[in-house]
Amino acid sequence: MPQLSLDPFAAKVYWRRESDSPDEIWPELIRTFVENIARKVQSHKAVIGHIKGFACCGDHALRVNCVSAALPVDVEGNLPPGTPEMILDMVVLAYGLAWDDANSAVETAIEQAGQACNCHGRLQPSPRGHSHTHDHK
Amino acid sequence: MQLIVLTGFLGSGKTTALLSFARELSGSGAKVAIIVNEIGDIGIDNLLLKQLGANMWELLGGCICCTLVADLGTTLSKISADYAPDYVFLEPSGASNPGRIPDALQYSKDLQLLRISWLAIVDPLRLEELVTVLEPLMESHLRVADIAIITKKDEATPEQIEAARKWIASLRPELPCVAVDMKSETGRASLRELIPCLS
Repeated sequence: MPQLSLDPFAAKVYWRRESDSPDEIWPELIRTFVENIARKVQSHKAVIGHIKGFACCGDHALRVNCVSAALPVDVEGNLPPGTPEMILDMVVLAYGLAWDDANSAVETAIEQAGQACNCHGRLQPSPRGHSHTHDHK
Repeated sequence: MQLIVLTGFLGSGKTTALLSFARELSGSGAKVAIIVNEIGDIGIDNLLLKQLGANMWELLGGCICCTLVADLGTTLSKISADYAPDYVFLEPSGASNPGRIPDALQYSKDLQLLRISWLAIVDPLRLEELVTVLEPLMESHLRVADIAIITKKDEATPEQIEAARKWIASLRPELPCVAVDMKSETGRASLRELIPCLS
């Protein structure tokens, strides 16, 4: 099998929810968002290493982990009741997925998850870093 | 100062294990520092550790086995001089080759390390798929290990746990191996039981 390259994609996603949405919307939104990303990564025939994210507000934190489109997305915690906005720090680490494809997958997932959960998201990707081609032989 | 390195592929459960082990040692009065290496420019595990109030140093945007190789040694020297911990946990990026970490330590010749312990974290849920496409990297985590820790025991089937044990034994027949669920009180492992010679 040819050596797979790892092109890390890191970003901040600025989320805002509608005022009438329930407090439980944040974990649901993040789960839906990351599930969508995982499906898109898989459609590129890439191998998910880790899709993870973290948002915090005071003592409260929301953490998400996904290691495969075939396994449940793990979401822990929530933000304080009434929190209207959230900044999610996230990374997509997938072997065989180009940075541009990761960016596109995340953009589309923001749209889809936002529509499903009545929230609005804005993507701010970090500058592209160096890619890794570790075969480690 | 003792160095405890948790190696393992991306998403294998290194941070969860690290948090549990660091709490165990801190709880017994030891002074603990944590170095987190993440391949992305934005760290995620470091944000969690910061929020939990850990004494943590970050090496972001590369691997300590290649692009950040010099940074590891200098960071360890700085931690030793400024904080003087009993234990330093090192969590390399899951994409890094731990076999190159000893080379990185050479950048810190003045460092007095009493011991280096290597824990390899193995995720049984994805092992078959990952070994198929990333075999050399997956094996590199085990090559240096003092003990293998199979995580996610609560989520894995007995067959997946057994397959992980067989894979580990095929590479390192002599390597001690335990299966744990680090997220539960009853299923997690004690670091002092895993490494009895920890002082």
